[in-house]
Amino acid sequence: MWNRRTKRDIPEINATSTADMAFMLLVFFLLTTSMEKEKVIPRILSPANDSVMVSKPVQVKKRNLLEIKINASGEILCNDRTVAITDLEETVRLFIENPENDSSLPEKHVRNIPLLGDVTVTDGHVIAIRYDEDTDYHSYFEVQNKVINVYRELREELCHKAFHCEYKDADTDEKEALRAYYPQRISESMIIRKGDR
Amino acid sequence: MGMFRPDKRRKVPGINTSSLPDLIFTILFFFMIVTNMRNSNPHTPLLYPEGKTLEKNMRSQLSHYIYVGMKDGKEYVQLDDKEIRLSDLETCLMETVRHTEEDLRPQLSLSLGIDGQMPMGIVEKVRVAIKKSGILHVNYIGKETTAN
Repeated sequence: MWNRRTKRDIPEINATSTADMAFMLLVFFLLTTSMEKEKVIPRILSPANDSVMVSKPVQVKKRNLLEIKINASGEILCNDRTVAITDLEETVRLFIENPENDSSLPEKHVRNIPLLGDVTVTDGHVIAIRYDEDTDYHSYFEVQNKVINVYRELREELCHKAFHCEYKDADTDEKEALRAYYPQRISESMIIRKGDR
Repeated sequence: MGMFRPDKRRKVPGINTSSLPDLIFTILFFFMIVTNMRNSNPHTPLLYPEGKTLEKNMRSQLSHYIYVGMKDGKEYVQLDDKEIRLSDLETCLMETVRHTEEDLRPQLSLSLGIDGQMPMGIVEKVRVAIKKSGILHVNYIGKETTAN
């Protein structure tokens, strides 16, 4: 029976349909897949403790504060001065950097930051984004995006100057130092109209 | 010259397809790995605001979605796959937080898909509800543009 001369073939498993099966699964994944990742602005909200906020409003010196108001028609006012959306980045940049140590722009302090040494920074600045109830989300998003982009650009430039690499390639300590040099200090609030309550 | 003479005994050899399933399986696995299943989709068309150099959304098991838009002239709020009322958002979020294991709660994040036309008054209400639920990581979904 086991003699080779008895010319009996070993039956093969018919695998012709495996390809079809795999094709079916493949098509399913092709259809359900979403390759493109969503693009977002990540933010961390400040915890809700209204009682603290009401009783102790944070006092910020006038020169350290940049109030960006977006009114209901989408116009932007920086410290009550109308600014075109295209000039917003420049205004914010000047405010954060204060390159000429202007007395109307944020105070500069000498701080010791690891890896960067003693540097003068405007770490007391606050950017307050304020909006009206009827401001559309699009305008708010645009302002938010521009302000964050300024921080990103500043950190990127400093990274090139100090560490000779791109921000994304910097290690954790270096990123920490850059963030300490340009801390993101953004506060957001809605303008509550008088009479509303 | 004999080699060009048609040989009756010789047949056209069949293409060996035994490795075809392996090939397809490889592509299949590629798609299975790169794919990320959406756990929810907005049930109303939303037009996200535009921005430049936005960041990639790092989705995880712990991220949830809130969609806010207009539907039939009224505001429409959706948490993951469920349509809810704006006033119920806080309770629903609290519920979500409660269903998450305690040590994972700080990692909870919310992706906010909000239509660009929505007034900030409504966005503010959404944000207050989020803050009260204790979730602090939010991602505002936008559309990337290269134009200024």
